[in-house]
Amino acid sequence: MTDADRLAEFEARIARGEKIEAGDWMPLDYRQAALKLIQMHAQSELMGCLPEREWIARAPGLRRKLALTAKVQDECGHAQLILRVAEDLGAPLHRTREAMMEDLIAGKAKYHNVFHYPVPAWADVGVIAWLVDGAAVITQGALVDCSYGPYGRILERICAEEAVHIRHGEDIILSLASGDAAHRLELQEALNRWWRPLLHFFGPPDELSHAAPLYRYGMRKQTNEELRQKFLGRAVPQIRAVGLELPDPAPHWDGTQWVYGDPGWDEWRAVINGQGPKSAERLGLRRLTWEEGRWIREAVSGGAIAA
Amino acid sequence: MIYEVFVREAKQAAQHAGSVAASSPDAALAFAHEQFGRRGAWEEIWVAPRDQIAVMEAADLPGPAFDRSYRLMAGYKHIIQKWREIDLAGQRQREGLRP
Repeated sequence: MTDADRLAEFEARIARGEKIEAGDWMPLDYRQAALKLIQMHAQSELMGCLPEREWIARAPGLRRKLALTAKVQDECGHAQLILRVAEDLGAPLHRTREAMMEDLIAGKAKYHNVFHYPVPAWADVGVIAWLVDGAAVITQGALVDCSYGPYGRILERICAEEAVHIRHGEDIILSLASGDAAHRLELQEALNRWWRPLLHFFGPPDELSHAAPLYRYGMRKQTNEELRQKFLGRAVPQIRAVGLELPDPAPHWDGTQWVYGDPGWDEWRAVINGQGPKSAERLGLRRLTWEEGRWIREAVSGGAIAA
Repeated sequence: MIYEVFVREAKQAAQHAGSVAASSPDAALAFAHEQFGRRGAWEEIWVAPRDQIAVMEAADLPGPAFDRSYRLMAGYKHIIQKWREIDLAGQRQREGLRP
């Protein structure tokens, strides 16, 4: 069988809605594009632990401390599940978990824009769980049916846990919204801080060309803009029902789609390239824990290094 | 030797299907195929020697020391009621969306 035959069969399998498994033949550009996407997701889960962990000790009340700890623990677990999938996918390219982690701490790997920002108030923790996790579950939910079987299957479990995180966030913001004027102001200010990064989260409406193999091979089926529209359809009514104001210019539904102000893509580009307000500090912490945790990784792997 | 059999159907994770007695992994696969692979829908059959499978039982672990309902959807039922109280469905209608 020639590579052209293999590719034709591979494309036919995807067209039939079949899933590609770890040991299956796949074209190099599929492996590379899928690995890049999956690795970015794993790094985002890992870096996503850091903003929230800052608030574990300061969360109001024991139950909220425990709930936030459990959420951070879940995100950490998601990173482990996804890294395992990435490791299998990367093995023929000699991309080890160690190399992926080294890339992250060297600032060479991308992760979601939202994890580059500070979390100055408790209300921010609520807005993150409510809307950042709400945005993440939209992108991840759209990937459950992706063509790579091992990734799609773990996403089902991940999305189920994200649904609990969203409820946890709603619990926090609904409590603040029914509090006094100071609570409501804290919540409004947190929403104002997160609104633009949330619009950025899905990426620019004009897709970058390197995403093309993802669509061609059925890894992605919905565009950045379709996902953002879905997010707005969920978030905007919730925000208004809670009695919060949407930052100017407020999005509106024109009967067919959500119209929103240009969130300015230069900021997004700078942030995902490591120029966010907290990028350096959080990567520094990640580097420290990576180095200080080396002996644990060696101990549990019996000497052979593992993440 | 006893082999435990796992079958992976299209789009699914592998699931435990049963066990077979066989003298080698190849024989175990052949028997497993006869027993569990004759209804067509499978994509992979895995066999593993039973004595190589490490097992843990929930009953052997201490139960949770305190209420952990914050880990479960069931721990947040009151949120659904709260959205109802502040009329999220009405707000969706005012936005021109399906309630």
